[in-house]
Amino acid sequence: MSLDDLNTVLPEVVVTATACLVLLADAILDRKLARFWLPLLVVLGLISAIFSGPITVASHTAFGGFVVVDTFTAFFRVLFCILAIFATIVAPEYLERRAIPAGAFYATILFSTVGAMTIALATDLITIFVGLELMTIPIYVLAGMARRDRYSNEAGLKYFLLGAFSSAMLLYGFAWLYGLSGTTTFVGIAEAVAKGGLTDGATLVALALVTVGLAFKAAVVPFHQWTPDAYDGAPTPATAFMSVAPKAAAFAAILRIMIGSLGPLGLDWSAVFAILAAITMTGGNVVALVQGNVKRMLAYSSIAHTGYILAGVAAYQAGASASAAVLFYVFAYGIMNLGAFACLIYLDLDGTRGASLDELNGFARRQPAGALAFAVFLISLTGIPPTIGFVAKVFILQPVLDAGLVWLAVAIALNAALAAFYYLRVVVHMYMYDVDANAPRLLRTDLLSAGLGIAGLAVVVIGIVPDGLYRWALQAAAPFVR
Amino acid sequence: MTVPLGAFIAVSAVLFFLGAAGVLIRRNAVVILMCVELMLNASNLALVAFSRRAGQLGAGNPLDQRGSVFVVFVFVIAAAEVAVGLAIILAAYRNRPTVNVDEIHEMKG
Repeated sequence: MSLDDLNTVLPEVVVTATACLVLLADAILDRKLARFWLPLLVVLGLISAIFSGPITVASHTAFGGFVVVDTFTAFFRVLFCILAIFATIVAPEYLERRAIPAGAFYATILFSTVGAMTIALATDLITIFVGLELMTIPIYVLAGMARRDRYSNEAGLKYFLLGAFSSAMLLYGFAWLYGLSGTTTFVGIAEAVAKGGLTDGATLVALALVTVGLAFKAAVVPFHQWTPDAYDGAPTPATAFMSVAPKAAAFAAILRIMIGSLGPLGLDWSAVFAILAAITMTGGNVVALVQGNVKRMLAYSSIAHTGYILAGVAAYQAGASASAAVLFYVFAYGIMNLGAFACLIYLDLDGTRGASLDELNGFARRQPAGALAFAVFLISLTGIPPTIGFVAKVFILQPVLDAGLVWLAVAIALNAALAAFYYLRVVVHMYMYDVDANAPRLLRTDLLSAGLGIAGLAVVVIGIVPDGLYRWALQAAAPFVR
Repeated sequence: MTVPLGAFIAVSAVLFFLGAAGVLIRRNAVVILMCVELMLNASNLALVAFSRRAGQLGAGNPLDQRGSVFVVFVFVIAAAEVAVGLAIILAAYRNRPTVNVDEIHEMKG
């Protein structure tokens, strides 16, 4: 290990150091100071992490070929840091209200962010597995962080048991990939695959195990059962983070393994992804339709979005535009879905949990700014212009059509129409219904409103001028073009 | 006499399926955790066996034996996972004295 190696992973080092600093500051500072300084410290640390790494670089390996920094890595580093910043900004008021230890909460988010960034760095099965675990183990803690809340207990337990199970399957698949190719590096595995030696039953078993393991992490139907309970029961700021960052990281892993390394096998495999994508988006949307609890509805809708992203993966024969579409959608989904969950924090008062549709009645009159932000996020999730969600869907549709998967494009369009019903129903409840007479008074949440304002603005602005982000996504997808 | 690769792989496959079956069948959260550990150790066994073969086939290139390195990382990860898992189970047990995953079911829909 040389200084150059350390310099390569400087953003990860910065985030880790910030997490340790937060834990230290939490122990030293008294509560009043901590309330102000801890979130500030986290945000400053994450911003310096973003600027400590290069934005566009030629591919560069370090640590004896265990990690690689290329445009793909740079894209995901920035995305994960932005998501962690938003998750931090929306959390403080909620954490205080619910007496959740703030220092531990921020540090856990930061550790999970380091894990997610490690996945983007990976060029070896070992790195990617360590990254996946480093990301998910803190997320189990986040889900169960409200120790005295039964729902949080259940969320943590279910997420943990199924997460550990899927990790074990993934690991067994990795062991077989190593056994069959004789190497753990993606380059080596790609070479072994290209030689055509991998057409026997053992390969198929290994591929199936890896696919199932990754499908669990990304919440692909039929491996999604943990999702609604984990998202519904977890403390809302934790839900906001865990519904976006692990999903983005799972897709980073899918791109690295399935396209970067097993790409040569691809033709047969993309049919499997296309079918999984169609089942996932339809399954998520249909169940979301009948949910009366908005938090749970958003949990199912996030499954549907996994389906849209997976459609981009299935279409990867269309070339760079498919991978770029996946990256763009992951970015868009990250901001709008985190924002939508965070909007529920307004209503997450004592004695309530998530929010039923009725609790949202007349929300626009009680909290105009919050309702406006929520409406923007919901419209974006539906895919109506001029929002980032609309642009992202267009970018996904294009490569799907180019790859000749017309039926999948039709499925996406039908699903978007289906989803409009339950997203816009929430908007109707917020703006058209009267406030219930005995609705509890909302608390002051300036920081939350500020965070949501920035996110909402980003959703609209990128929706109007998406070129810059799309060009960056195209660059980031370059390592996967053959 | 050396034990052939196939024997190791067979044992690891048996261990893996026992673990997976245990996760799917057993309802006790602690037992499920133990079964997951069984699955992880099945992978470890396979990794070490493959690594040894790679060492025998390769021309002394240490990179061929990365499987053994992998196992060390898996040890650490498994330990972290158990620590977090037991803490979560304990927190749930304090609120409601059961570790049966079928009884921990408050959320519907």
